[in-house]
Order: sequence, then C-alpha cells, then structure tokens
Amino acid sequence: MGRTLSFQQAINEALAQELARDPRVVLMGEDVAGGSGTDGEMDAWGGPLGVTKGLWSKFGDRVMDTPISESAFIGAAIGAATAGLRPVVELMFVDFMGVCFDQIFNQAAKLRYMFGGKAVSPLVIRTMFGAGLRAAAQHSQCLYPIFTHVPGLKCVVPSTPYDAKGLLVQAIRDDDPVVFFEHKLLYSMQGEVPEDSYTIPFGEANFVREGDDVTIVTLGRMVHVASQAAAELAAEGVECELVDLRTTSPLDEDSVLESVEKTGRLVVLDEASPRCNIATDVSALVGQKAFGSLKAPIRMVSPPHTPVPFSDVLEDLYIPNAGTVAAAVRETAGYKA
Amino acid sequence: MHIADLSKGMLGANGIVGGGPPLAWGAALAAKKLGTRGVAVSFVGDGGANQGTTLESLNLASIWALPCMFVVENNGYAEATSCKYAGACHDFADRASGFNMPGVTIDGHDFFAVYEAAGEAILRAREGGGPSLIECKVNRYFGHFEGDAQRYRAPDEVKGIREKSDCITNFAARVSANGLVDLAELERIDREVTALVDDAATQAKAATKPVAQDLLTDVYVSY
Repeated sequence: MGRTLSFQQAINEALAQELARDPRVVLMGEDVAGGSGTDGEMDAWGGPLGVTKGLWSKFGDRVMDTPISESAFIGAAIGAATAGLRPVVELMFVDFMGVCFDQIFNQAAKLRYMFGGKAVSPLVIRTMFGAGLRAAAQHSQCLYPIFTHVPGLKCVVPSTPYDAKGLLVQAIRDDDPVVFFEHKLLYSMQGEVPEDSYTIPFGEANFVREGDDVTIVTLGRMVHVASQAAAELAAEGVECELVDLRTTSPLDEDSVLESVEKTGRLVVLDEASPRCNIATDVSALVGQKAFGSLKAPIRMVSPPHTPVPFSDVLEDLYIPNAGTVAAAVRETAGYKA
Repeated sequence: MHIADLSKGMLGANGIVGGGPPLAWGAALAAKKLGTRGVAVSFVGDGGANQGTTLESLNLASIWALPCMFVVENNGYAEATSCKYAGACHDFADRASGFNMPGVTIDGHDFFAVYEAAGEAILRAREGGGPSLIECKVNRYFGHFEGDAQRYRAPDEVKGIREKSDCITNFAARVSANGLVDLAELERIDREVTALVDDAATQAKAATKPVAQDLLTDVYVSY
C-alpha cells in the first residue's frame, strides 16, 4: 500500500510541485491565499475549502489573491499565458463562468486559431463544480458540457486523488488552455498518490472495472456512484464494464467504442443537466460508430432538466444515485429486441 | 441567503457577486418607461463594487439618467480579502464622479445618516435627476460563511465593533436620550419581531418536505 492523500491534498501537491519546478507557473484567484490587506493572518483560507492552503507561505507573491473581478483576472491569466507565464487561475465555482465566459470562449479558446497558430496560451482554469453540498442553484452546477462544446479548450474531470494529481500536472505542462473541474464532494476522498510527480495523458479513459455484459461510461464523482451500482449488479450476475472518461475534450472515443463493441449494451451516466451533455455526446458517438454492435437501446442517466434545488430532499432526488444507475443497467441488460 | 419578495418589489439577494446592479438599472428602466415613479436600489458589498457588472451598470444608469440608487455596503472584507488590497480607490464613492453622478460616503452604522443620504438620492432619482452612489462604511460580525474561522481578522476586532458601533444599540441610545422613543417601546418591538421570526422558523421547520414532482415546478412559466 502506497502513500494516501485526499483529493484536495493531491491537487495541492501537484500545484506545489509545478510551482517549484517551473518559475513561470503562478496562481491567481479569489482568496487562493486569503488575508491580503487585512490586519489578520495571511494565507488564512487557501481557497474557500483550503485546497491551495500553504502555497502562498511557500511561494510568496507567485500566489496572488485577486479582487472579485472574474472577467479581469481570468482574462489576465489568458493574457499572461499568451505572453510567457503559465498561470493556474481559480474560478471559485464554475457557476461564476457566467461573469467571465467571454474571456474563456472568445479569447482563450480562439487566440491560437485566429492568429494562424502563432499564439500559445498555456493556462489552467481550476474550478469547483457539482451538486450535493446544499449550495443551491447558483453554486452547484456541472457546466463542463458548455466548455466541452468550445473548440480550443481542453476539459478535465478527474474522479480520484491519483487522477487529480496526474491530470493537473499534465494540464499545467500542456500548451493549450485547460479547464480543470474539481467536484466539491470529492475533496475529502482518500486514495493512493505517488509522491513523485507524474502525468496522465489527456484523451485516455480509465477502465475502472472490466465486464462483459453492460458498459457504463461516466466521469467525475459519478464514477463512484457507478462503481457502487456495478458492485450491486455483480452480486446479481450482471458484469459491468466501467469506463471513466477522465477528459471530455479530448474524448477517448476508442475506449468507449471498444467496450461497447464487446458488451453491446451502454448506459451513460452524467451529473450534468440532461440536454446537450456528455451523455448525449457519448450516445451520439456510439449511435454513429458502433450501431451494429448494440443489442439494446442506449440508456442515459442524468438529473432532470431543472436547476439544482436547495431542499435536501429534492437535491437527493435530483442527483443520480446507485439505485437509478442499477435500474438503468438492469433494463438494458434485460432488453430483448 | 436568496430571499426575495416580488410583492414588495424586492428582486432578491444574489448568489453571484455583482449579479444585482444590472438587474437594478433594468428595474429603473422599467420604472421610467412605465411611469411608475419607482426608484430602483441596488446593494453590493466592497467585493461586488469591483465587478465589471457594477461599473457598467453605473455608466448605463448615468447616461440614461435612470431613477436608481447604488449602495455599496463596504464592510472591509470581500470574503477573506481586505478592500484596502482589492480596491484602488480610497472610498468607493469616489468612483461616482467618473460616472458623472453624486457620490457620498457615510457611516453605515448611523441610522440617521443612511436615512438622510438615501432620502436625498431617492428624491433626486424620482424627480429625474438620475442615479446616485452611496457608500456605507459598515462592519461585519460574522464570517463569509458558516464556520469561517476569520483568521484574516485581528483578534478582538469584532468585539470592539460590537461594543462601539452596533447600529441598533446606538439608535436606541440616541432616540431614547432625546425622548423620541421610549426604551420600553423599543423592547416591545424587539419582542414582537423576535416572536415573528421564531414563529416563521418554527413553521418552516414543521412544514411538509417537498416531493419529487416539485423538482420540475417553477422552471418555466410554460414548457
């Protein structure tokens, strides 16, 4: 058994190692240290949940608190990246993309293409997403499908501490703009994480579980929901193959198709709102390229088309759970044409 | 957090910093076009004062001379960052001159100062004089969220504020010293309000939990 870290410690370590390795790496965001200009302690927060805690103490003014001005500081990170730095900028909650999205999709995503390949904008936007914290409609969304839609952006949605570290190091060293999505309910999750730095390439899905009966494709926190469902189903004699996409752009089409060609049955599980999300995207891919292998209609499991509710009862109903996933798998497994 | 009372023209507290000012000048535009003589009031903190949405709204409200009042409640902290660090101006009211509107900085703990400044701005807005900016210097007793240890604040900072600057205590002392209101009357109001709040909390806690079909309620008017 190797060393164990939490998901958020893994992110902190990746940032610390990259800050130490490359002087061009800088961190920016609201309260990434916390305490700037106050009479109290500096580095008082390290982000609202303490993910970047201690980095200011180690790296000083390379870790910069910003005013609450997302358009300006996300845009500044893009400008700085295009002019030689490698900024890692924090958009505290992905819901706040609404404040600054022009800079992300019209600037970061377009500069290289519009300038004939001459611009390089190596920045990472780290952002917290997902439901389950009773944080209501403006602090709980899974907006990665919107970013995935935009050519020029890479989108990473890690599910484990190991993946979080390896994918974040990769993101920082990558020469394209990368949006890195951290599910707020995963921060305390423990897992084995090597101390030495390592990278996980983009566009390579992870086969979390192998099985011959039904393929479940998912990402982020839903990987664990699917794992739980797969364990229940195995006890019933249904063997699921669980594919964790890890990145939505680039998308590992080959792994998805390879698995569906083997099982002939697909359930796609996505915590994002159901219209134009990753589930619809993966379903379209399989419908187009593996239609002949399908033995049953594809099933998509996503929340209903409604904002994330504040009520605990409703939020629990909103988020897909192992029960809803298992039900979808049973339906798919039992389908006879 | 997200309280709203549309029946009173209260368009809601906002979960997005700087989300409110554009809505307020929109409400002012509606008041002007509909001839309601309404005046829109927008509240942001020292954090929201640095959002582009706020500055863009000040400009638009000014060029269209909208009946609008922008209030910056400057409590010194945007989350865990000082306004002295995050704001390039000394007083946020200084920004008003750049948008060609009156701006004043007042003691936000002083009920009467707020009342007078707001009254003047609302009257001006209602008479077609356009928007104003009022910066209320205040303090906060609590952290940014439940459980915020507030280590970015000096020890005893809150204690000192509570002792010297409590708006309600100072108001009570002033009006009773002048014989305007009897302290017993204020205590009666306090009891009445406390009972009202307790009753609302009890009712809310005892209320039936929502059911599955409520998930899809109020997403659209029709769909």
